[in-house]
Amino acid sequence: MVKQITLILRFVVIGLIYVVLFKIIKVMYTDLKGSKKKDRFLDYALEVLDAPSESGISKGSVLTLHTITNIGRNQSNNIIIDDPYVSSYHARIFIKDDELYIMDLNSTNGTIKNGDLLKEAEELYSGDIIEIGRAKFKVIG
Amino acid sequence: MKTFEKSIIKDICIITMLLYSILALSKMDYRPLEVGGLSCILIISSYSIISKFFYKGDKFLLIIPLFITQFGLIMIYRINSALAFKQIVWFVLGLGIYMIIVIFLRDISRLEKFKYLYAIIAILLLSSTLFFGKEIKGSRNWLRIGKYSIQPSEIAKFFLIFYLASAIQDVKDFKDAVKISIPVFICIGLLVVEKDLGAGLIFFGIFITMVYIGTSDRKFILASLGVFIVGSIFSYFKFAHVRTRFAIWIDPWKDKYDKGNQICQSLLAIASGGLFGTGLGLGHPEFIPEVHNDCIFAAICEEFGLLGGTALILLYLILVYRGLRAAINAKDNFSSLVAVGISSMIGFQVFVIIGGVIKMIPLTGVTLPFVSYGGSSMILNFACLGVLQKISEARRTVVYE
Amino acid sequence: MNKDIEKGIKRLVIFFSICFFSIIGYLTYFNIFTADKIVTDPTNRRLAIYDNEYIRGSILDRNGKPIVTSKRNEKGTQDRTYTNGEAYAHVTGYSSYKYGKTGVELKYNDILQGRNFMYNVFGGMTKNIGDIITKKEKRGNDVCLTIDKATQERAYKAMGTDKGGVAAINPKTGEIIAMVSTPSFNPQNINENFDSLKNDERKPFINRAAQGYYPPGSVFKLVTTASFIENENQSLDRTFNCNGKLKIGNYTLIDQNNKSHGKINLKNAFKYSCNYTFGSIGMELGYDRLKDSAEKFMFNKDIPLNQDYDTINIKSGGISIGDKNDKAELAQNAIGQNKVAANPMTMALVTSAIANNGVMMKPYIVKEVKNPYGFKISETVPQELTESISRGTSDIIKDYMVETVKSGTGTNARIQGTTVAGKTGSAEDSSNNQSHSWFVAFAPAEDPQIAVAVIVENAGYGGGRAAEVARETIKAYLNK
Repeated sequence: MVKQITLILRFVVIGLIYVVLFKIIKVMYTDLKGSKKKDRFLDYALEVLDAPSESGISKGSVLTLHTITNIGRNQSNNIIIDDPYVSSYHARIFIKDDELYIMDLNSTNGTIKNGDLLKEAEELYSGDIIEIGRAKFKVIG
Repeated sequence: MKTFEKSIIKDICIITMLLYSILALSKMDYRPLEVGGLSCILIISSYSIISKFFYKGDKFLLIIPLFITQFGLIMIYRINSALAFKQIVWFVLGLGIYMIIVIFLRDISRLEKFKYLYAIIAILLLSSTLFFGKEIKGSRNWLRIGKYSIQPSEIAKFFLIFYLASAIQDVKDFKDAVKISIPVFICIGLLVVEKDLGAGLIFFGIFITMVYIGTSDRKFILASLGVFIVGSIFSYFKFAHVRTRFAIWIDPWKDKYDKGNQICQSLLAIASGGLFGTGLGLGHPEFIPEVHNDCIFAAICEEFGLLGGTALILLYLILVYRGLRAAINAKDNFSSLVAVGISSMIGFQVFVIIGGVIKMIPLTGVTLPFVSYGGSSMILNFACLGVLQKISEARRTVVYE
Repeated sequence: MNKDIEKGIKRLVIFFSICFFSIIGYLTYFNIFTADKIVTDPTNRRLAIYDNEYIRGSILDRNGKPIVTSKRNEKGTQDRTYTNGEAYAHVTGYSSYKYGKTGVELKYNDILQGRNFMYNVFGGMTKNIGDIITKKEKRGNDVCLTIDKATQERAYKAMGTDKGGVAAINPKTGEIIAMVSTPSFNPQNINENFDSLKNDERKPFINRAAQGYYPPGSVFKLVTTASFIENENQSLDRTFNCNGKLKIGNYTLIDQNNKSHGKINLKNAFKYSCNYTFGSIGMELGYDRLKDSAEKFMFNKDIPLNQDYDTINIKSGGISIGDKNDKAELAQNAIGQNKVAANPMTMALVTSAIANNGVMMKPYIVKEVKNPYGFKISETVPQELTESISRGTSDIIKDYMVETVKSGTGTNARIQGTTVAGKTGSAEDSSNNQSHSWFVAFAPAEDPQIAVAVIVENAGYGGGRAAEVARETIKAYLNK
């Protein structure tokens, strides 16, 4: 009897092994596919929590983010903050490998993320608070 | 993501228990179930620790080797249960070292500065067998310490990878490249003299990939390949054991009772397996010399069939892929190179031994990572995994250019 | 730098994928194309284990008497018994896990083992689940040979310590009644003796009866006579003037003991095996006609066996010539020397064709296969191989052969109460030893049951040792 059971179970075992293989490959596939999707449809945005009225952005508004979003006083930036405490090219938010990053562009007053001054590029997560000059943003998405 | 991982872990445990139940049934003995239970506990607990405290890393770098290890443990248990208990001890020790590395190794890039130390350790390890070594199965690559035999070439691989990762970054021109390859070629030369051709081949593979990745220069590859070809031809004419290996590869059946016996028996085992295998416990892998070590893949093919063997190869491929993925995302070049070194070490080792066992390339005695019996290889491979895990955890802080 | 590393690593992923998939590809190729060929290698100890599950079937003679049998021993393995093994060695062959199998043991291995399928890609040995449930001892199938136990053993005994071979065929069916080759070996002790047998300079492994390549000497005159009768539209009463020496240019063909037969007709030339006459006939016929007749008797042609498995490998007789117009060579060919070669099996076939009114039957050695319960699984049906000569010609030669035994060179083969038809031959051995003694015969002449060809190496005249062996063989078969 044992022999027959073993003979039948070998098919079950091999089947199960391939189920596991399939699952692993599926996870990796969605992983790869998902990352490509995110590149195309950006679903991150910045909510303005606080900003001086003369800065040109209004409190409560939502600003969309692109693959590269430059922030500063200069008119060529994607997000323009007209505030003397903001440098002309102040900071940059960008997407790399489906992750969101922020980096300071050597601004005079620096960029603050969650209360800490940015030194190098750092990853951004939903809910992070960013302070640039007197403006305050929240990452949503 | 996490639910997927959990279901995979669950499936692996089911397969493991199923296989040990088959052994328990056929031997009418409850002990295989204990071993199976123990394996499952080890799988679940190590996964839980990693997914709870070190969730940032790539968990598949642990899940896949755990699965692969089960293939080996079951096969060894089925061939020789006494060896399997030892192997479980090595497995636990391996996991222990893995955990230690994951928990205590904070920053891999700090290891970069000891580069010459690594080279010296690797050469010392390899030359130690020349003086204190013991010839086992025709290769002088064992070192005996008390009751245990260790294989220094396994450990030397680890240091070689670290040496190359730290040294390659300094390479500016061809002269530098030659300078850094001197210790590597000393190592390979020592291995050839010690008749450990398989390890020599793997050292060379690791070297050539790391140099290529580190310098992105095809010139070095061509140069190293040239050296390799000249070296192979030289050793073919200089060393009788190299010629023997080659002759056996060309036609093992000519000397099927003596020197070609191992490869012939492993081919016969694979041939007897067919597509689905004979079923666990119903084949005769015990006819293959060194089955628990070099030829374990043939035993797996016999009892799990072509499909089982293919699954194992695919698992290794995924593991290598995940390792290389970690290398791409690594936070600095040193980590990246270490990850490349470790992944390619696993890749080459699998290729050399499986290719050898199925007579695609000449058979050279190296271990199948995580599967073959042996403490040195088990512990070293898990140490490498720990390093890989750590590298996958600390992702690169990207500077946008 | 970073970009380069990334690109390099991506290439590495592709490289390893290629490596691993090539392993998978090779493994698949190996399983489909190579695996089946190697599993039967004698170093595969699994065979012994699989085989041991079944008691290997017996090999029986034509009347169901056991020749080779297997029995389970107390160790759980099997003992295979070869009764009087030496006599049958070249028929049954041996069965060893160390040195492989030969003969019937090899060709009928699957049947003897009771295997329905060989190895295949779908799961190694296909095992019948029903077989596993039943506890009864499983047996393989039995193979019944066409060999007659009494005849085979008598022929082997008659050969004594001489080297040579005997082949006996039922001319009406092509059944091989006996096939003996000496010196022989005992398949029973093959594992112990293999190396010494292999290195034995007497070459006991060679099947001289079917694989030998000897000059046939005067027994080839059967073919020359047939060619003469069929080709030359002349009176058979034509006489030749034998002076004992046939001078052809620088070459002289001599008769036994330089004996001159004087005026002699074909019948008497045959009866006394006159070389002068047959040499002259050969020169008259020319090479092409002689060769055509020989080829009708299957010289220079592959001889197929009347079975699915070619159990014995028959080396066909051969005839060729250096220079077609060289009369000396032609004369020698006509008396079975020069470039003519044959073995007992091919000569027995020639004889059987003459005995069977000119029709040669396909030879076979396995009569039927029976399953363990005694039911016939398969049976060999006799088949014609070729029509060698016309009935008229065969009647004439038959008459000559009867005369030869009655009062010619073959008197040594006479059997009380049975008309034996025969022809002697003494073939010159190139190595200057005594000539090979040949004898072909069939009996009873009125209703042929058995055709025999015998060669005894270096035993002198065909009328001597070879005729004796042929006589004993025929006597054993006809119960005389």
